Amino acid sequence: MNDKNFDSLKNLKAPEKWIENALNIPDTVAKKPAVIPFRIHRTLAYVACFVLVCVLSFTLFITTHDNATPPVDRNFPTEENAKDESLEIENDSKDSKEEEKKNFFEKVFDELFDTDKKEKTSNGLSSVVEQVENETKPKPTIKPESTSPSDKEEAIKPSTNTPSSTEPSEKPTEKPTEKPSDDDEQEIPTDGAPDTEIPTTKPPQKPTVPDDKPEPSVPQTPGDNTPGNPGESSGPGTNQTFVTFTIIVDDYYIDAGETVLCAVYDPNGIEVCSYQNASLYRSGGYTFATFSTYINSGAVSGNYTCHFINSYYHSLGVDTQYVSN
Amino acid sequence: MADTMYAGLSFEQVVKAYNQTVVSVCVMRLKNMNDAEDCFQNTFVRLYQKSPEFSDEEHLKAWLIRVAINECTSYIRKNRRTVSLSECKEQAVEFPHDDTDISWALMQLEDKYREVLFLYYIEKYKVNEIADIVGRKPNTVKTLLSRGREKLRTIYGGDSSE
Repeated sequence: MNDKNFDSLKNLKAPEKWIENALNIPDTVAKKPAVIPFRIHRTLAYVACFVLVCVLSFTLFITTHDNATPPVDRNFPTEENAKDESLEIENDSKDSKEEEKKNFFEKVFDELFDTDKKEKTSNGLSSVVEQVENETKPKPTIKPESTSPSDKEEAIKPSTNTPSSTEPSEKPTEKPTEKPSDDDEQEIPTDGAPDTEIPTTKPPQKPTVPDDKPEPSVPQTPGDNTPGNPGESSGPGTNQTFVTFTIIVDDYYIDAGETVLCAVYDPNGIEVCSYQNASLYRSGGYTFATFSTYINSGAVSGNYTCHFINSYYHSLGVDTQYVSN
Repeated sequence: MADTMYAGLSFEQVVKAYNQTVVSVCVMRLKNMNDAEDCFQNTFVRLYQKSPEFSDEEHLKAWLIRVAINECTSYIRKNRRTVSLSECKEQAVEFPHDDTDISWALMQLEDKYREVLFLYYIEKYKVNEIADIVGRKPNTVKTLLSRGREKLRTIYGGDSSE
């Protein structure tokens, strides 16, 4: 191939028009601006992805570890934080309340079964009624030896307060050293005192006061001596105290019929009032269950407990009121 | 004009100095003057836009040849279209059949042989340089050269001893 050549291809000349167009390239074609190489773009993308993943991981860790409470909110106490704290306190109290309700439910359940078996509550109630009746009777302090009318008047002394002006001037010189027993009190002496009135449950009138008009027999309730409990007031009956029990009920435990039952127990645990319907009312976003009843406070003084339950015997709460003689 | 210098040459000087090389590469590859014009222009546009740094003029020349080959390859890939034979004959570059100038025989070879033979016999590059420009191994280039010579000899009817 030494004598062969490619001169026609080698000496191929570009037309003048091509060269002119090529020389005009700087005037027509704009230079590309210096762009960031792709590898730099890629590096930036890697860094951005890494930062994003780190931020997301940290956020996820904070939200899962700290119970979704951002640390900034903890540092600055606001109203919302206060609300959160109050909610936490409510939750804590709710837990303890639920435990209390659970215990009460078991207690009520046991008592219900005991009631069916032993009829404990009815016996207890009847004994309480008898006890109250005995105590509402005025205890006569009759001296067996006294025979004069004045002595008789003194002897017939009710347990209630008697004005001092009604006392006679002549006082008996002999006082009984021994108080008669209950059985002795019930035995009314008829031998030496035929005109002596038999003591009744009615309080005696005041015969010695001349200007005194016969007052109606208004019983003096022992509730006057009770401390000033808010839900307690004197009732219309003798030795009866009107007591109101109130609790705040969780709406979750109230059924559609909104039936709330309650039972009242005396300090000895005896059922004073069997399960009855309590009234419900709503105020200030809370639901209150209220039950009012008269309690013969002459029987037992102390804290009377009212247990509120719903129709499924789920305990809703307990309220206690102090009732004294 | 651009102020950028290419191995000590301005853009105008580069165009005037190497337009013949670029045209030869484009025609050798495309066998068509119209297509070669596009690739010719695109090669210098690429030079202007990229403005790479060249160590010397040989580096610049090699870069232009390499870019021209790539432009032709991409042009063929992008413009695969069917044309009529008459249109093809009108646009094709015709080299006279001559016993000494065997450019016409070269144009009848396959692309891979034609490319290597062009760089070796016309541009006077060595095997390693051709390997760098074409992006093949030197042994591959040697093989292509050997086979291309045989094919070329077969085409123009020369002796195998030549």
